[in-house]
Amino acid sequence: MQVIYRQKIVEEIEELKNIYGDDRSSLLPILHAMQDKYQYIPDRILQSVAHALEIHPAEVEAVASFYSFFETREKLGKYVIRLCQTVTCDMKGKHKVARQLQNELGIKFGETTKDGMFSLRYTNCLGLCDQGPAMLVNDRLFAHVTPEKTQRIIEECHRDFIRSEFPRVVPSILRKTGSLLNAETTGAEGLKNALGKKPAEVIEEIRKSNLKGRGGAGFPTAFKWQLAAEDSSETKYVVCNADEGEPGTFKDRFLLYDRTDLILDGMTIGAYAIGASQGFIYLRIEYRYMQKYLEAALEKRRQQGLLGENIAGRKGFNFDIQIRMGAGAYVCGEETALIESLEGERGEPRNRPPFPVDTGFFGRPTIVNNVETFLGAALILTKGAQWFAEHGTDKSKGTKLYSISGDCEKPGIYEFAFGTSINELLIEVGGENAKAVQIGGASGLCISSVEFDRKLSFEDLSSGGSVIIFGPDRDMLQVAKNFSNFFIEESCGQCTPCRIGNIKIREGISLLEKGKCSSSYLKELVKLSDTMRLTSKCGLGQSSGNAFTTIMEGFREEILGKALNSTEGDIS
Amino acid sequence: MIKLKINGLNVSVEKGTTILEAAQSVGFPIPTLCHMEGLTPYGACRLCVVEIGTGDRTKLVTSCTYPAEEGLVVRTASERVLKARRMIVELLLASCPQSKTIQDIASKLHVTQQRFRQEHEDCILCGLCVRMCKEQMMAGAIGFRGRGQNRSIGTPFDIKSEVCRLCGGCIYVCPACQLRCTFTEPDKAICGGCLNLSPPCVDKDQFHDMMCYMDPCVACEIKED
Repeated sequence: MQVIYRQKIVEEIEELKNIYGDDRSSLLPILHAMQDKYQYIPDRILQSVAHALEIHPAEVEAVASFYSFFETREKLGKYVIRLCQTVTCDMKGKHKVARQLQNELGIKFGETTKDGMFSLRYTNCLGLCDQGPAMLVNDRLFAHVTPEKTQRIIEECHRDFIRSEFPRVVPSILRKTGSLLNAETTGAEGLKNALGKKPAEVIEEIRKSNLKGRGGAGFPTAFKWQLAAEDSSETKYVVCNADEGEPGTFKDRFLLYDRTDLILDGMTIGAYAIGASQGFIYLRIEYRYMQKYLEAALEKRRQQGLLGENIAGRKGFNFDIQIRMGAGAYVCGEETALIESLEGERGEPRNRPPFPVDTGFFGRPTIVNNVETFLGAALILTKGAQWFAEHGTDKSKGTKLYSISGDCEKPGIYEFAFGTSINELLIEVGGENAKAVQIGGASGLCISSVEFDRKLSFEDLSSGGSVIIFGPDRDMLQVAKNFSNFFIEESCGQCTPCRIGNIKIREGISLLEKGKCSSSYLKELVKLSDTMRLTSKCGLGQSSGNAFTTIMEGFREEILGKALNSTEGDIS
Repeated sequence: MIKLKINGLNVSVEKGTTILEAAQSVGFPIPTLCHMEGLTPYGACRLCVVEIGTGDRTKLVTSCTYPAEEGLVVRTASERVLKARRMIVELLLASCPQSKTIQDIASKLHVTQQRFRQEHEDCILCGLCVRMCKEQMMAGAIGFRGRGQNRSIGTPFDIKSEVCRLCGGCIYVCPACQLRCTFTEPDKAICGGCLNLSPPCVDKDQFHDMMCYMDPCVACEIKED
């Protein structure tokens, strides 16, 4: 039995404070470090942390209990096995893997083996949807897990094999490249070009390219940057949103690993444009295996003079980037929630206005952009706005990366120009017989085959790049149920429509499963989902009913009056 | 001064005024639940939504948090707003039907029946008590825990907080722990009968009818003395 000495904890926390600083924003890094050390964060550690940071224990507990990767109740096993329960992994046979894991270990999900070796947890989207079922063992990712493989993995854990300095990253499958991914650049060309211009000219170049936010909302990047640039505050921040939590999205994982320098270029260009001197990469904890790699990349840039003081010889332009880890919360992909989380708070969305461009991280102007947006910005400054705007439609310029998974022959990462129709996409990926396509992940829309001529663009189907294909035999009600469970788990629970509404929707789905839902009640539920869209506080709540509404509209015939035969609830 | 239009009426207010304050200053009622003067606006219950903008570009925002902007067009009781408020109050009723505060709001919105499966939670997570404790009582003895459906309010580690002075401020502001309604037939119906009844527990003699989870309850202790 491990004895936790208070004095030792206090000393350790003091050391951590020296590394991460003694302000509130160091709370998450400290909690991470303590959890790594003690395999959970018991009350006495929470108390000591509160004492050291001079905040109330209620607030520390509030933070620790918000994030799914922090464990405050019982000690986790030496190996924490987290199985992805997202819809795509579900379709690829997650249930069989889950059952076998329980058989092998003799515990249920949420439990820890008696010998303290293994803990079994479900988690949401590991960003490996094209290679599912996916599983995370501590920081190591496993793709294409089968029931048979689970036994081997567990055996190897017993032999302590997971001891490598740089955890191996499962390679992404890149299927189709376009101008973004084919662009050849030499050493920070875009950044050097940008530094040759005035900040206002950099923003003007971005404006000409009509680059819009690649996270899905499509806010014009130049406008965001300009608002932050115009603010007179001396301290400003640049944040790269690498909290790629949307089910079915895995392109940022690829970009962070394969286009690291371009993304860091993009962030530095952003910093130059708005006048920031500090940047953060908010990396989701599920991608922790990338942390060391990214830190090495940052260190290399510091040595090259591309980060730090007087960047690339430009006097007075100082900028550095820190990596901050999330702790398992989908809602932190929302920019204000992300900022709250960076500040060491619960990742709960803020009321807007004020917007982050004037009141962001610690009340300072902050731009939060998607990984792909920074890539776009770096390439625009390398190749010019003209080059970027060659592809796409009138309102959606350029190309976009799509993460394609589900029932198709060639899942993976594709680059398409905006304006590509779903039909064209399906031919390319070998999924012509699909009956539905989910555009934009759990928060997106489910498009049935009659609408396959709709186009992927900001004016029609805007998304962060998640495309999940459902084959002719998929049970759409189970798909809706999976998404609904996802939102119930990931909602922060702040506002009424999202917190209670999603539960009511799942109750409705249970009725539908039993074949006991009247069409008038279904209508009420669709109205409820409409109210959630109109009145929820943040993007998560507003979009949480989308999938339900569109599935109920597109597949009414299939869903109404049907009773579930099997009790397993498998989608497969 | 900022000039805006509320329900067709020109209103000028000082900078920093919220839409809610502006609307109330000219007498347009907007229902609120998680809002209280003296506490930071929270914008969580979403009952105070109003419609802003014109033409096709209107949207619903919470009036308690949205600052008055020059030239803003606000409608506090459009069809869309009322529909949304009714749905939200039904959701609140479905989780906490015994609260007189929520029932009164429902009655005023002419909600007579809620459509969803009824539960009997004792908290609607409006966060009034948390803010009261932190901002007015300067204690911070209670806070939120968990998220989503596991979100709850309590003292750290579920033991009595050393900074709690048993001031009772949390109960005073709580919209859920008042007179428990005895319910009417048929099930799920809202009678509106207690609309004109005056609430707080401090004034009442019948303590066994109270729903209260503060242990010990300061109001009750004072009364017993």
